[in-house]
Amino acid sequence: MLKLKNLTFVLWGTLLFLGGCTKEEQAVAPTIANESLTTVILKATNTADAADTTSCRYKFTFDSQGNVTSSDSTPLNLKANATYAVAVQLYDELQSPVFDVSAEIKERQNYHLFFFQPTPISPANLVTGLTSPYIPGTATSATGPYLNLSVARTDHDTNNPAYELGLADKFTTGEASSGNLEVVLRHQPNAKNGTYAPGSTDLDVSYKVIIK
Amino acid sequence: MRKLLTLLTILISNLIADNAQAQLKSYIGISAGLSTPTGNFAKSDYGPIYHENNKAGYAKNGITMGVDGAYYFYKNLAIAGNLTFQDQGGLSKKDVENLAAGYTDGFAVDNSTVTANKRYNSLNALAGPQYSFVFNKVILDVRAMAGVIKSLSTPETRVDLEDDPTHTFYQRSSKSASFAYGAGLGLRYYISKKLGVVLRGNYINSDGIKITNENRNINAGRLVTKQPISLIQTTLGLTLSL
Repeated sequence: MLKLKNLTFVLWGTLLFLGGCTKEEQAVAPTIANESLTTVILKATNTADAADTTSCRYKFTFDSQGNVTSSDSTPLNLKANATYAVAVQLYDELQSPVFDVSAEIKERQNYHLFFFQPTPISPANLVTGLTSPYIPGTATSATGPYLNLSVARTDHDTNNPAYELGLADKFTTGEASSGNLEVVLRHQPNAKNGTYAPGSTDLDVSYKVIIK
Repeated sequence: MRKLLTLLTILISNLIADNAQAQLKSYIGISAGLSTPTGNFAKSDYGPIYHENNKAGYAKNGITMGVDGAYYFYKNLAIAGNLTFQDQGGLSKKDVENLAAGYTDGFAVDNSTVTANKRYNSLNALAGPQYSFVFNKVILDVRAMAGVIKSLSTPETRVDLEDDPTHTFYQRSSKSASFAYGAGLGLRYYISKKLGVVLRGNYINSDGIKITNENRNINAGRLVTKQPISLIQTTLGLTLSL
């Protein structure tokens, strides 16, 4: 009986030892770079006339080391006082066949967020916040002339609550004007909250916009 | 198939009838041995993006020890119970590398760092009906059990995405409890009138203990909220008739 009791003490002693025994392990895993972003296209369809489409393109050229050597863009021509459904299309044209990066962004929508900044813009129109696609800190103009373009994102991710994404958008034009449209893709891993601040920038391009 | 089932039923019924005898003596014992994780609890794969294996436990083979006993209330029928402790290890270097690679891909970041500590330590308290077949000095115990599994600790992880310390997230060590059930077989051999050795095998399953996560802001990457536990315990012990 005494032996049984001693054995019990040994067993529970081992238990206490194991309970306190812990070893820390740490690992860092780098990414395996697999695609470049070479081309950004905004494809706009007039909501009043599906046959009325227009687009603009921003294209990067890379050297063999993957460094950007040059870029060029085409302007976005829009009609005055119209509404457009806009699709953002991203491609890696270094791959064959061409890789659709926008499909990848759609898959990873829960931590990506597009921002669209028309300029020049008045201080009153630069409203930023949870559902605004505009970029905080953008320089405003008190006097104009302004680019009469407003942007709203129309698609959402699968977070709970859902946040906007920006691969699909609505552009609304006013009177004839011209200016620039900056398009920024924010990468916000475990940080997306609808605002611009968290995360880092995956893409930042600018188009000339002509409304007439 | 029907014939086989009928044959088995007759065989078991005869075995029970042949074995039914004067009431067996209740017993208590201690045992120790190997605890082997099974199913998702044993898996160590992060899983592909959007199909992460949120149930993979990365559990290891470990030791188990405990007390076991049975109270015979009618011939060979008893109420049996056991209280066991089991250790299923912690995350290895390979495990944290696997997790880090998964989070790097899952959040499309340049790198992620996973730091892990603590181990799977738990207590099981299970009880249920037992029937014992007597073959001279050897007794075969067959039992079904249900009860509770109480986690004392589970592996804890900290995940740093790139160099952004504000969005580090954690999977905390769990001390929660959950319903568990299982079945067991035991072979007792009495080396004296009172003292015997026992070889026992138990299968224990639990749908899962609750796991708490902190600072998970978006729906992406592996997220464990409930850790299923299933294991097979193979033990050797001493038993004392009462």
